[in-house]
Amino acid sequence: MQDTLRALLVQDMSRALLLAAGAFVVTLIFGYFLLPMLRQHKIAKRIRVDGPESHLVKMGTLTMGGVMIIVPVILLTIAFNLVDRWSMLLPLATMVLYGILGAVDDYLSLEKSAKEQYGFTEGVKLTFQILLALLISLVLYLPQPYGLAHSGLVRIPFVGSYDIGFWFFPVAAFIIVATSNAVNITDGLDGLAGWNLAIAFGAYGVIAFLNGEFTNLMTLSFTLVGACVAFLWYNAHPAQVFMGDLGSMALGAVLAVIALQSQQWLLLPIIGIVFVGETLSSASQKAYFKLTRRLTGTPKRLFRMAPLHHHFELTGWSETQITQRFVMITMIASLLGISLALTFDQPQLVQQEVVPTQAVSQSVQE
Amino acid sequence: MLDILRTLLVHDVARVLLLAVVAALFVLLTGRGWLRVLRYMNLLKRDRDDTIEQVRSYRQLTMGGIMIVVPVVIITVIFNLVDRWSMLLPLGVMVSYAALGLVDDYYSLTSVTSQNYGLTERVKGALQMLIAVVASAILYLPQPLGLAHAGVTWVPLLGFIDIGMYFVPIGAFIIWVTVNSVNITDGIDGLSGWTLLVAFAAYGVITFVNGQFTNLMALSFTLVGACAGYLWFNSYPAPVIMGDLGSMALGGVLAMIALQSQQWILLPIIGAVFVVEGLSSFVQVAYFKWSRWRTGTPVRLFAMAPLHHHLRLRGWSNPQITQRFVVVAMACAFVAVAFALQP
Repeated sequence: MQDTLRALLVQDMSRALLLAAGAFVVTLIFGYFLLPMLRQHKIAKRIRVDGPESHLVKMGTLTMGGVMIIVPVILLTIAFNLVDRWSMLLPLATMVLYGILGAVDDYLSLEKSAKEQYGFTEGVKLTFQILLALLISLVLYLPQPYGLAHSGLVRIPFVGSYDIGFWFFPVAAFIIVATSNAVNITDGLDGLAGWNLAIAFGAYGVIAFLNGEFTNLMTLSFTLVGACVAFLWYNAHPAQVFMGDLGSMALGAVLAVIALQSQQWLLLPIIGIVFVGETLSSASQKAYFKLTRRLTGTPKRLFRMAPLHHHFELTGWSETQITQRFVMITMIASLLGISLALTFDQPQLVQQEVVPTQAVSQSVQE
Repeated sequence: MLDILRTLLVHDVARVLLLAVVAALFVLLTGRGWLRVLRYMNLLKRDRDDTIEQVRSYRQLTMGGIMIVVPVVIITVIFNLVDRWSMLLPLGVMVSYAALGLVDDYYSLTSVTSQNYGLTERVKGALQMLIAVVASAILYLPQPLGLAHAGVTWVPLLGFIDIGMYFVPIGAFIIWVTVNSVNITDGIDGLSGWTLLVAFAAYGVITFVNGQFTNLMALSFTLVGACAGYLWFNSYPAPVIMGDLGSMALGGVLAMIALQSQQWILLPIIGAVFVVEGLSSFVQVAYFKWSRWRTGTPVRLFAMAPLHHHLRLRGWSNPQITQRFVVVAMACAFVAVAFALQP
């Protein structure tokens, strides 16, 4: 009896992991052909002149490598994970929409683009992001024919499920915009965003697996893990290609949507602790700079350079050291996040254990 | 019904993952202290004359494996030993290989003037084999003497079969090969630490799915956490490497986990990187000798063995080699776990 149950439980996991391996292979092969194409079209990034000096060697590195992740994920999901699971259309659409926004942003920052600029101005970018996020969270919230009827349920550690009702709508929009931007900010060192995303997706895959209701989300998460990990082959220091805004915004948004759909988005700040840290460092640097300029006249900086990874670079950590150490932090935080996710089931355990044992004992008596 | 099973399973998982977090924090907090000790004792590694290690502008400390082995032993003894005495075996194997590695490392220090860079191959190999045979005999022998692990092994598509007496030589061979492969793999900053982390995580998931070996799952995840903590210090350019102490001890315990979980058939897939590195080294030596015997002029297959040195000479950067090998190890681990999940 227990064996058949276990078999049922793990069947989906096996499929998801094979899909991850499949995504790895497809992405690796796709990347092999993509790189010469990017090189041919001169899709190389203009590096900020005001960044750390060591980054000037990155001048001319190819960008928009996120395509390498997004295309295989979409193809594999459509082929293996879409039928009967139409809710998967939403994360895919999110990925595509934010991918397009990021692609335009990337295109404007290319070395070959005429104007001396690094992409959209902040205001334009943010407006588009917010509009998309509102649309997506509306679809998440609306009832069945229009949306996914995800009626604001959220799981709180040690408490259980809780319905926040209409408030879900603005909260979800905020989470999507914040995550998308946070990943974008984190994407500043070779491998940093890729590793952290791979681990975050992996953590949500495991959470969805242990939760049991969201096999489709688990499959999507593991597909993304496989693709991210294969991207890291080309993104190893010194990187041949960056994921660009295309990759970071699309993957950040899809991470947020997976977290929202699995109803475990309260854990997102723990699992994505590096994203949070990077964003907070960037925001507090800006705020402190402006505040001190207004108060004392001489602006001061909290960090030597924001975001956090540049600060550590200037304090003498090597690029690989920063990446590896941040990845370790994410990994440990994810383990913590997963074990927090597991506390949800505890209150239900007591109730459910009684009922089936009675049923079993009755059937034995008969 | 499915829910009950899930909650039961899940309870152990939460505990085990917290164990991993504790192990990682333990290593992170004690690691700096160990570094100070190693530096104070002047345990600087002497580079072989025939490698390309001289590109480094500094000398690395060795025996960094101590910062993994000690926390793992302490945490396992505290949280994972009572009612689970079978954990003594992997711990014993880890400690004895660590002791052997310690001696081997000692002879390779800059402060020690000996001709060889460690124990001679023959002495080292014999001692390794001795530990391996004893360990697999204990695994096989019936209850009062051993763990009564009567040669049951899992084979894909066939399920569990009993291989009987043959388990002892096979077990010993697996331990010996794993120890040496991990030792060979430990040649680049972060490489062995990362690949071991992935392998232990894979075995953690496999033992979770299998369900009978919660203790092994706990040990695996403790090792995952410890490796993660160690990698904080072992990131390129690393001040410290795990040395023979770490690589042999962790290779030994990986093989023991694989054997005890009865899923050692998957070890070559999960440890694909170790296999390839070990094979590249073996093939290089064998082909060199064969061609010398055959034609008189020795020929090399790789520019330098093991594979990571070959790739370095081919122009891959140090982090590139590590990251690419790790990424491949991860993909292989996915496949292996998916195999293990097949009902």
